[in-house]
Amino acid sequence: MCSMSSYRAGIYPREPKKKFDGVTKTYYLTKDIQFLLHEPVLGKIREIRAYRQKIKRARAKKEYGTLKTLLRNKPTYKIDHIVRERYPTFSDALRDMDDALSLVHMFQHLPSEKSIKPHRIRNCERLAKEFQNYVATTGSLDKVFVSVKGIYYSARIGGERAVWVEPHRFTQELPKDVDYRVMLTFLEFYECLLSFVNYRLYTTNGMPYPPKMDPIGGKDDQPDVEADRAHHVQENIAQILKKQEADEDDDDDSENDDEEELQMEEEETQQAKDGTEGKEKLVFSGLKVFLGRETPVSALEFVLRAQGAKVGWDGENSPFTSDERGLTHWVIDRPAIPGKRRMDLEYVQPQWVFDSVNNSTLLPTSIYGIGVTLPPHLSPFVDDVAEGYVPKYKAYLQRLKDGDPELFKETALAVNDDSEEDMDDLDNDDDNSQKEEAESKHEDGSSDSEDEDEDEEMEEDLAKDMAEMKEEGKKQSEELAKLMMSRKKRNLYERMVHGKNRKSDQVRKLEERRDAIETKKAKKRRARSETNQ
Amino acid sequence: MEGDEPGSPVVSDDEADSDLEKVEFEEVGDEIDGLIEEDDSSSDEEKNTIGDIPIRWYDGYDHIGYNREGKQIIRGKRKSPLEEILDPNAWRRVYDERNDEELVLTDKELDVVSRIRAGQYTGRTTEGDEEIVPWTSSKIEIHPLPEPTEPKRRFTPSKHEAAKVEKCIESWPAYTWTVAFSLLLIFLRNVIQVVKIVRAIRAGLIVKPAKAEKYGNLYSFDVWEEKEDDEEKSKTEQARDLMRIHAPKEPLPGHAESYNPPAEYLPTEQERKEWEEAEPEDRKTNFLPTKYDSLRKVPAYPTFIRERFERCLDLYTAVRVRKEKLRINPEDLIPKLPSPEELKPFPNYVSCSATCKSPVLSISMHPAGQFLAAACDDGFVRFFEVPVLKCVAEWQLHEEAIVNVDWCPKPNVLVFAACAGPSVIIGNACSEGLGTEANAIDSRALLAGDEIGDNVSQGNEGEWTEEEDKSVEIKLKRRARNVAWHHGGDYLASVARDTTGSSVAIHRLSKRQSQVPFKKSGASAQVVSFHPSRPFIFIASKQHIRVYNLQKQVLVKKLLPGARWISSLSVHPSGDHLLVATYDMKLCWFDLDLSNLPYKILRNHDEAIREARFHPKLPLFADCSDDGTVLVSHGMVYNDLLQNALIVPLKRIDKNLAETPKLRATTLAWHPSLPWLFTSSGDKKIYLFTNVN
Repeated sequence: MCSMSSYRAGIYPREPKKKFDGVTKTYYLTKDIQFLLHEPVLGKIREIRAYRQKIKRARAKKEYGTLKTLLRNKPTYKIDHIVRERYPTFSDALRDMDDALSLVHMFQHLPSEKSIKPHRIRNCERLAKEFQNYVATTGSLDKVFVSVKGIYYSARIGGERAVWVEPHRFTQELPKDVDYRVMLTFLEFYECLLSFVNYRLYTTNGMPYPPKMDPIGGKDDQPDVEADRAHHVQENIAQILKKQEADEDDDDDSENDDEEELQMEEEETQQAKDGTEGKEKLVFSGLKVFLGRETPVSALEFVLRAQGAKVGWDGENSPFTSDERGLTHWVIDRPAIPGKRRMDLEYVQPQWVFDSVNNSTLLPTSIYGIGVTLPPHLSPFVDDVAEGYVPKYKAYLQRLKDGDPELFKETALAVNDDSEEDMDDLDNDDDNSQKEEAESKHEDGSSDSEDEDEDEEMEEDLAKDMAEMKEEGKKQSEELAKLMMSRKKRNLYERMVHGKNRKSDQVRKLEERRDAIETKKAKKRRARSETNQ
Repeated sequence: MEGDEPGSPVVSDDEADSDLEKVEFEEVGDEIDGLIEEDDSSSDEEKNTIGDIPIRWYDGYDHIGYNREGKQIIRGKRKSPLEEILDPNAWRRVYDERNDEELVLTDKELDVVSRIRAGQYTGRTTEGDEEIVPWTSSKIEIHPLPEPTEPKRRFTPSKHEAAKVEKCIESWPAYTWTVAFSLLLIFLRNVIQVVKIVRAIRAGLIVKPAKAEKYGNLYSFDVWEEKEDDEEKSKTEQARDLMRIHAPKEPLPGHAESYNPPAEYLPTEQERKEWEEAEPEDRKTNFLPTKYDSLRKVPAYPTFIRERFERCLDLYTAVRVRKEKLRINPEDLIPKLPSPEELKPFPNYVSCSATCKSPVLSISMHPAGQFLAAACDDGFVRFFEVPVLKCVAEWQLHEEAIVNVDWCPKPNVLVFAACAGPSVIIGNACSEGLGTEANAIDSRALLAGDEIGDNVSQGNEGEWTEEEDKSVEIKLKRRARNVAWHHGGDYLASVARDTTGSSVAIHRLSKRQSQVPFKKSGASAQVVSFHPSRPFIFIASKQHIRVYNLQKQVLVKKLLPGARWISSLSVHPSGDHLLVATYDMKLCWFDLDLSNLPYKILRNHDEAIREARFHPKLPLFADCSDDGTVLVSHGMVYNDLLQNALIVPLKRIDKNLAETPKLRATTLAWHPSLPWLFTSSGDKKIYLFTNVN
């Protein structure tokens, strides 16, 4: 029953209006059970059971010839009809891919065990790879999020969004209190589903199936994806960066840095030009990225490839080595650059890749440089309006994308507070503090001028009082009207208000914390600048 | 015989015939031999010694074999067919091909031949003349002779052979099926077994094992090939689609789940501790936000597999229920009521207050609107003049506290009734110098009553004593708690504090008579009130309100407010509506025409409601509660029976009193015509609320 219903996936307990057999029972629709009874797989499963007994008997009787034949000719069953029944059309299947992808991506990393057969793991690995290859080749990956649990990917396929999570690449410890049979039954269905989806995706897009998996990053036949917005954004960023760098250049003393900045600038302009040409449309198109040994290579390769970059890594099957000419970026996850710093490319931390994809633009590499404290990695799945709270870095990125001209006046690294400690932008700190002082002065001034015209103020106060009274009256009448609500409605209203309040409380808490952290930092900064002076 | 050979008359017959004869002879050889021996023993001897070989082997030679001497037997010359025909004995001649001689059958021999042909015994002596011994047929058996039935194995396929076939099949390599078949043909050589195998294959008993497909390639085809996306679904598919509730997707991760979340999402030390100490099912999130300053430092998530497993469990064990998500603004749930501004006038501000000498337990407003009577804790009834709330008179009625006071509803008289201890006292306020001369005359007349007959005093439940023109005291058996006047001004009802047994007494002032009409059902009465126009009385027990018709002396209605303890009762001036205040914080509005259940239950207060009163003229009502607030509401009653009463809360009076932070209002009274409200309580204060704009 259990395994069948999980195969069926469309059969699950229901909530009857009246629980005739008590609340502790699980209730299913009679129709569903009838449906299960007529399931062809059921007969097959019974057959297999009988067959297993035959094997057992042959083994007990030591009829090895029979046993050999029996083992060779084991009956099998197929569940393609269940997939067809569960998802009558392909788009139905696409709508429900999340769980399938997540489970298959998890199983490919599990160690094989008594119940988890190696051929299943291999099959999962193959399916996941095929799917990722499809996503990478069609460029349909739109979001990546590195969480403490694993890496979330989101791809748009056939107008539907599929989100799946892949665990971090470690040997998974198999917990004892988990029923693997349940998961394996689900996995069997999902493997079947994913096979069909992969086949269909490949064949309808004119790609050969099974695909030839080549480890070479960056495909020539990139599909055309509309990304005008991204170009626009890129242009904006390029402009801002130019200005920023120009400012920074003034401050910088060392020639080395100067040179680097110049190079960066050139590159940025180059990128901007590329953007205007409109040839490359994906975020990383035209880039040649090399991945360090310590980075999560498979994840990064997938993401970079999906966004149009050519990828090489420090390991086997890499299409190119670190000596390759024309490398644009080197992804490193170390406190310092190993070996001599190369001037012809940029060193970034892995988060730069993910954040760039999420913002569908190349973010300034200076924020993600080696040894720099990283800005927060934000979830791309959060709806700011619904959430009610926008982290500061997100707001900053939004302004960056909008091409806010004010932005370059401020310190680019204001968001990235900790990084200031290593940087030499003390001047900016001073500016900030001066500004703050000026503001406080202004406030004082306004308080001084209060005494001048009291009469006016009296009138104002009166008007204010009147308005307040009116407001209060309105509030009170509303309060009284609430008394007339029926109990049902009142309960509903209270619940809704409670929910709203809880949310706003959460937002307030976050804001308060942020303010506290910021004031603390500002104080530190000021203290530091004072000691410096 | 040799001698006969050339010259013996040979009767030649047809060759075929002679062959036939010969065969027959051969078959019955033994018997014939025996027969012939007697006559012609020499003729029996075989001349030819070639043995039992076909004579045709000698076809090409001129001899037909060798005799006993080893000499060739030369083939003799055969007669021509014509000669044979001419020979009259030809029919009895037989040609012996082997010995090349012709035999002439004797009559005896002919007889044997003819007998054999007829299927008879050869010898005449062996004709079936012998006596038949009836071994078995002499007895007639009732059971059939033990002729055994055919065993089953004659009809079923041989097990032995089946085992043989099976053995070959088992040792039959799957991949060389055809080779095996041919090999089998060669080896078995047993046609029957091969035929059996072939039959078994044709019957589908032996199946050629299908080539097992590789696990991964099992589903490499397009399952949705024949079905296009836009194609309409079949009816069953549609039905199942309708019935199916899709599993909700997993919630997407927020900023807090990031490996490098913004600092404000990180838990404080206390939150971390709380999270760690809580049971896993009590935690709000299944992870603790943690910051790693670099991606390489992110460890494996320990409960990843568990979470996926739980998701699987949810998918097939969790009950799925379709829930309508309300997309409404909570503000829309608040009923749209007319603004209080439109429903003016109503009392909203304290215009005047007075301090009584002792705590006030009950107040009552005179129907003429000039005097307010306050029943005090110290046994006094004090009279205040409206609107200035000046205490114009005080009158000690009793030593004990006056618990209730009520003015006679006739506007021209100044007579009140009050409860104190076990007595109900009807006082004439004019005797304290209140009112005009006309009032005094009317009051005196009312108080004087009719002539009292002797018969009336019998069965009187109360003990009536009177003080000329001033007061009448009715001493009851039990302590009274509540008194109410009938609108005629002659009757009044009182309720005893002790609620066991019948507690409602009805007194007739003119006749000086008291009755306890509700012997049983009057039990546990709390409050009592008369209908303003009809001969009805409302008696509220703790949980119910009974409406009696006093003329017919029947129970008209039983109202169920659903409360535990009724505190007060007020009848609308129209008589069709009832306001019931309860100690369990509910205020029930009954529409008597509608139902015996409340038309509206208002939960306006956080504590017990002491009293609720309708305004005698205006569409207003007010209730006061222990939480220190008085709520003034608009209660419009329409003449149209189809239109229900409109209830709008207008004003909650609580914090407009600077001197008393919490107005403990326990009793209230309305001005008879103006929207003025009086409240009082144990804090000795009496307030007048008026409509200030």
